Amino acid sequence: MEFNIENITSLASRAYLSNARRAFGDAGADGIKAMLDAVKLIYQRCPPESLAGTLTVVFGINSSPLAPIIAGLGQLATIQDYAGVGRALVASQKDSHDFVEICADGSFRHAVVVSDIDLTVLAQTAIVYRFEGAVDRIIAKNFVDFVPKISPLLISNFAVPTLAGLEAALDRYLELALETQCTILARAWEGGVDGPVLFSRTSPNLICGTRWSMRSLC
Amino acid sequence: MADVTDIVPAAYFDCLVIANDAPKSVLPMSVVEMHLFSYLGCVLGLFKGKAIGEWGYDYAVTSDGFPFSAPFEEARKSLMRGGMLESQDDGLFRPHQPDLAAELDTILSLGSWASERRPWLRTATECALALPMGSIRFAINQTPGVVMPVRLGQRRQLLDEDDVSLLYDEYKIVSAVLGSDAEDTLSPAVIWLSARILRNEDVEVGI
Repeated sequence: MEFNIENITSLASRAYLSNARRAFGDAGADGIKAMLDAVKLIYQRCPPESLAGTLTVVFGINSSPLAPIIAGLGQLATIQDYAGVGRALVASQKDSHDFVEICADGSFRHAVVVSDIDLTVLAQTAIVYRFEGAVDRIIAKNFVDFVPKISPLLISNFAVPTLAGLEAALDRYLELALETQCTILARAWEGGVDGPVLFSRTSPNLICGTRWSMRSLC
Repeated sequence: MADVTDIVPAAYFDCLVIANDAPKSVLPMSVVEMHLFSYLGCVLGLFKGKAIGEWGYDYAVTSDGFPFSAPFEEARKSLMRGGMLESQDDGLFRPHQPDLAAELDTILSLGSWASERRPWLRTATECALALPMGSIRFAINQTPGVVMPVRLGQRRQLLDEDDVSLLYDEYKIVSAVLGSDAEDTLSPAVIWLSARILRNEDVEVGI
């Protein structure tokens, strides 16, 4: 894999970690880390594949649990832990817009709105994460960064993919195996991982050691 | 079993920091991940001017392609024996608090050498906020010094003079493009890793 200036320049132009600091100083630098940690923990309870609509996670800079930033969005539910956040998101209706605010006391506020709002308004005093249509976006003041997806296999950079069934698992496995550095697979394939992948030997990769799966890789 | 006098203090401290400072979403973690964070912390220290000879212990790449440090592994086992790291049924580890934090505070009180390296190790674990662990491992496997031994299935010492020189050159590129912000260690680290993961076509289409 080349380490080239084009990649770096493109990544730097969407450097949401730096931009959170540029927007809010040290509070922004700490806030973006707290928010990403929360997003990952939420996705461990409710994977993005299970979301019925959009998800917005808000980390207020200098906000108080007594005055949440999303208070104006409608009725707020107070949730005490990540398991509760996961349950609330799983229960959301199709095409809804879920907003979760991370509060300084460790609790969460949850609101569901039918009509979407202008996120840049929230982002003037908060770091805002939006998941919509398999795209991750992070907004801090006027910095709007679409997170470069590091793999087409991931629906979000911040979540481990979940699979609907065996067929989906095998499809994913095929894509994954194509570039794997697994030493077992390297021995199992004719030509090794880096050579021409035409068919598999019968062992030890039995589960996908079928002709159709290897043909799909060619 | 290594005698306690065989434990390298820097490796012991690094293991404490990785277990204590890692974000909640990164825990529990595997042995391989702990070694990976240690190695990444060392590379980030190099980027910030720490001489490799002052790191305190060294690394090799295993035939399976993982950075591994024998002194770090002895330190990890020592923490396990001391009850500061808990092993789960699935083979992953998490810190046993408040014991581990108390031990970390004790080490920190012994000298400034410890507090100097803590941010690099913490940043290494924080990279896992922005990138999946598998991607971090993949990126590390593509870095100078690691890529050829992994491809050839060889074991080799890491971070020799040539490796370090190439790593410096890469970090200079990242710093020049991103701009100099001495306080910001995480963003350059994530971009340095991401540049190896993203395909060119991914960047061009802007996903």
